[in-house]
Amino acid sequence: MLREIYIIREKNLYERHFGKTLSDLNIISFFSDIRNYYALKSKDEIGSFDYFNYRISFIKENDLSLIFIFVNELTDVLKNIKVELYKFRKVFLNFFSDLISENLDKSAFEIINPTVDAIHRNLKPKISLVGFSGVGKTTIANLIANEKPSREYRPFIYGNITTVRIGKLYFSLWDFAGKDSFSFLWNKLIKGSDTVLLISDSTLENVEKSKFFIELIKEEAPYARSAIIANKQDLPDALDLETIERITGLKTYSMIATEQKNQFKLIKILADILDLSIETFSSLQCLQEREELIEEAKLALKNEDFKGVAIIFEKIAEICLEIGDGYLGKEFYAKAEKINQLL
Amino acid sequence: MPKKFLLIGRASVGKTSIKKTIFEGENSKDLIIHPLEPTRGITSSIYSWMDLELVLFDTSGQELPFLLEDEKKQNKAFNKADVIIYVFDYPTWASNSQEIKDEIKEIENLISRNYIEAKFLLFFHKIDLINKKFREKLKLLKNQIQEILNLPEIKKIYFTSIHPLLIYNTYNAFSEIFCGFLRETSDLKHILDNIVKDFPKTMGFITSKNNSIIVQTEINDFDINLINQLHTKILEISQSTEDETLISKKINYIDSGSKILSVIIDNLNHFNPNFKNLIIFSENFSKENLNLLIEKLEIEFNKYYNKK
Repeated sequence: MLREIYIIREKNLYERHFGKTLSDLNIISFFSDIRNYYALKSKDEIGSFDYFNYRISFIKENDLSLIFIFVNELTDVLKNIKVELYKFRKVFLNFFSDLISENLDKSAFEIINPTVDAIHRNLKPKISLVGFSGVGKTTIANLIANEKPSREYRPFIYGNITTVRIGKLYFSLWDFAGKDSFSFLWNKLIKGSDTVLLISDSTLENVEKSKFFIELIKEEAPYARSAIIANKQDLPDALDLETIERITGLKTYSMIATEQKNQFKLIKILADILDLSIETFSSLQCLQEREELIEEAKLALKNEDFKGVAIIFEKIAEICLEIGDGYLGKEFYAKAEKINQLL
Repeated sequence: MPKKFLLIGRASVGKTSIKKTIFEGENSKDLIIHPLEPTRGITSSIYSWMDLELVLFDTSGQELPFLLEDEKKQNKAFNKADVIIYVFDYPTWASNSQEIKDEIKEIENLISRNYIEAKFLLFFHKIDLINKKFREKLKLLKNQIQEILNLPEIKKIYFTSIHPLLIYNTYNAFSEIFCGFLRETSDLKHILDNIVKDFPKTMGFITSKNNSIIVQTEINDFDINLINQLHTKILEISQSTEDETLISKKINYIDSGSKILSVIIDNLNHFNPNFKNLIIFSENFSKENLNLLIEKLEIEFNKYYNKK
């Protein structure tokens, strides 16, 4: 996953954050190291180093003293990062090489956003759902993907791959949909994953058996982020989270996948595991809130509670404005006003 | 047999405003300051553009997701369409380019499955909102869009706006699209281009009887910054030449704001009653040259119409 992107010329010219930055990571502090790195090289090369659990890649543009920096996951393949980094530099220079000396307003750089969004999509993380059959993997996959029209659904031999978009975040979701007898295929699924979600039905038997997957993850995707989703927490014999964490050693989240309202909880879990930035996550949160408010409004309309509808419309409008949906926001305000006038 | 055009796109992107300004002559400044109420459902209107009869289907942006899923609505909008225009605007592209890409891909799939005779075009609208410095680099923007969309089936992307200074782009887009259906106008453009290109810093226009520009020559070395004012001037000239006795092939001069240009107006409706004027603008002041130009054009037009 492309977590962050920076363009630096003395200071930050442009930055986008899909993932949260480490609080101690100050890109500017690497600036002189990066410059020194290039002083020793005559070629136009991409440099890369691993810092904590991130991979930092960079390329310079000498004539204009620009440095382009990508922050990726350790699981991202360097070859793929390089392709996108070269592309990014090229497009940026096409637009800005003759304008760089002028003092440009931050808003002037919005024209490069589509290129960044495309790169983010190209480097989207692979999120795998593993677990024994019957624990609820497919239910959880459907809850995440939400039957959205943007969902691309491809069956593969041992399961399904879905490309999911939530807000601005793209990821491919791999769901193993076969019998446990195909367990020799698990490692193929896990390999190359950026994140592995181990699904358990919270029973003692299943949690113990699932330790098998933890070993497999260590072997096949040692740098992947992983966590346990303890499903079916509503059933009587469900173990509590601390117990599961103690048995497995992995962070555990609770879930009841059969309840539609838990969809947002799942998204929050993903945001937590992937360490998403406030920008990415708050837009997701707002989208979710807006969806819920729209459902509330529909219900209020059915019950002819027009005063309630007007209040809800105003709330929706506020959210729209927050996430930058200006026109829709204006419309909801107008609707709310009309209703208030009629009352 | 009227041709069917479909305008499709998200809410508030400007589809109905395009329709109102280009086809119904409404004031674009008003529409920018006081935007229209959202369109509901699918509306169809009949217009004529010279000899071309067209039916323009305008759709609701708010209902776009429903339109794409409901077969009946889909059919009403897409069935037998000759040209399908997807309109998207610069602000949405800058912030939600991937969503737009997915939407275009969905529509493209729909068309290639069920409505393959239709031409699928894109209008990149509201270019007045692009930072002035990049408006001069529209080619780069087009490259970026094409690379990101990655859809070779898309025939063309037009950059449009209804802002008074940039609306000529929209007129030209439609002119070009309609030209494809009208043999005569594309032939005339060809003739005009061929002759005008030999005269430096000169451009030619042909207007229709309802005062829209139906042919515009290639820009060549003409000062591109004057074109905005020219379109307004052309409208003035067109509207004031209702009285045919005012037309002469005399050379006049106009102040285009930053430069003085010579202008010659000729009447073309003896060739085709749908045409009105031929208007030539030039930074060239030589009377012999300009008269020569007009003579050449007369000869070529006569040749063309005598052949028909």
